[in-house]
Amino acid sequence: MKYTRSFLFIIAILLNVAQSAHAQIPRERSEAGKVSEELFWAPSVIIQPSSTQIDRGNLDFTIQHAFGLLSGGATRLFGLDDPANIRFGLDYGIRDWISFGMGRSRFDKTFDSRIKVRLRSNPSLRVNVFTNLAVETPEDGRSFDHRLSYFNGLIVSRKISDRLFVQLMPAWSHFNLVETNRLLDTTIEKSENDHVILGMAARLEMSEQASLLIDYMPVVGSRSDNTNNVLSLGVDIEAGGHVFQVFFTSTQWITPQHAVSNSRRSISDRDLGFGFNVHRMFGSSHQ
Amino acid sequence: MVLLLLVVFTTPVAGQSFVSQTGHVEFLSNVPFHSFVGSSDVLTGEIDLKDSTVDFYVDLESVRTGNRKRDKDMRKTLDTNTHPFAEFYGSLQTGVDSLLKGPQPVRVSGDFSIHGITLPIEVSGTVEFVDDELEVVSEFRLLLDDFDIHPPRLLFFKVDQEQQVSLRARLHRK
Repeated sequence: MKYTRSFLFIIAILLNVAQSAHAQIPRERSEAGKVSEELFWAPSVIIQPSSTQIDRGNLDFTIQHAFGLLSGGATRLFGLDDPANIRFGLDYGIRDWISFGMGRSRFDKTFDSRIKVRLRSNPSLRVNVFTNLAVETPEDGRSFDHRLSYFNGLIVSRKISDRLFVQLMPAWSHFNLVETNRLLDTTIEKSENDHVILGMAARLEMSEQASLLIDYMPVVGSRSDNTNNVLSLGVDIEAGGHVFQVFFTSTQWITPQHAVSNSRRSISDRDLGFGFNVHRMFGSSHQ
Repeated sequence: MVLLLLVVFTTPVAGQSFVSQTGHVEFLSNVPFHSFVGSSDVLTGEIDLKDSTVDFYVDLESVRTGNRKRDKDMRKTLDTNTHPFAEFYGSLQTGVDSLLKGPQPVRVSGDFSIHGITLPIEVSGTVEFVDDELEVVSEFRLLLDDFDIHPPRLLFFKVDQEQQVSLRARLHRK
């Protein structure tokens, strides 16, 4: 009996201690913590727009440069001495799914405005619609209508692996007015108002700060005489709120419709030029 | 013996513990022209008035600063893959009177962990019984260096060395 009472006493004490001891609540990851990273680091791959969307209230300031031909050699500092095309641009996230942007390029004093709308988003797939309207403003007597050009594309990008991301962009560009030139050898060089493009791009992540980029914009079907498909190869470097893009490209045009319609550089002749873009993202202090 | 068993089995185990999974926590990085707030609404916690334990944690990847690139940098800096939580586990140093109306000042001491570093801290705040729930409000400051947190300096969003952390949570009875 004495042992039984002692046993019960010990059990009672243990039970009481067990009730009093408070374990930490189990740590569980939150659904809200599941991060869906953009598949490209900047709103543009190099020349063609990327699927990356600007968050609501964020502002992306872009400076884009495209210099002359590398084949100019050391005397022309590999194209840096040649006239460069420069575009300043701003893109603003109106909502997480829609952004609006404006920019101005040096060549043909071109102003452009653009809208990107996200149609679908999941961790490995992004589908966006992109449209822009550009107006060239040199004093050459053209009417306003004749200065306008458009570019409309469906941007589909996909995560292939943790390091490889690809993009396909069926698109259409249109110029209200194009010129037909008679060349010195009396041949006629015709330009097309419309081009259909199947843009392709990829990003290969080399590290948390650096990626390799390829941006190819082949025209499908008829195209303006003496123009060529645009190929750009570059590196994305991410540092804080900046994305630096250093690249070689076969166009000096920055707005996609001009790049598609006006680029005369030939990849097969290695007519490449140096360029770089800087993207700086400004965020609202709070979402 | 009967008395002892009565003590054991009548010890209240429910009703004095309050829990929440939807608390709000935010930090302010106050640098001129570069101030920003990061916040999360999934602060999870439990306060047990019976044994005075206080237990809170937040999934750091749920914290948003309003800028996706800054969020990404923050996750990288805090190494959230390895250390996903900021957490506090400690005990109330002052009593809480469940019959008292209005906010009651409380002091809590315990261990705060972030970025794989755990340090003892003492935090002040208030608790208030509202509609049978417990509302907790607190503010405290953290020094990043103390927790071996070093944001990269080159072109990084400027971050204040001293972070002002504030939290508000309404805990319901468990």
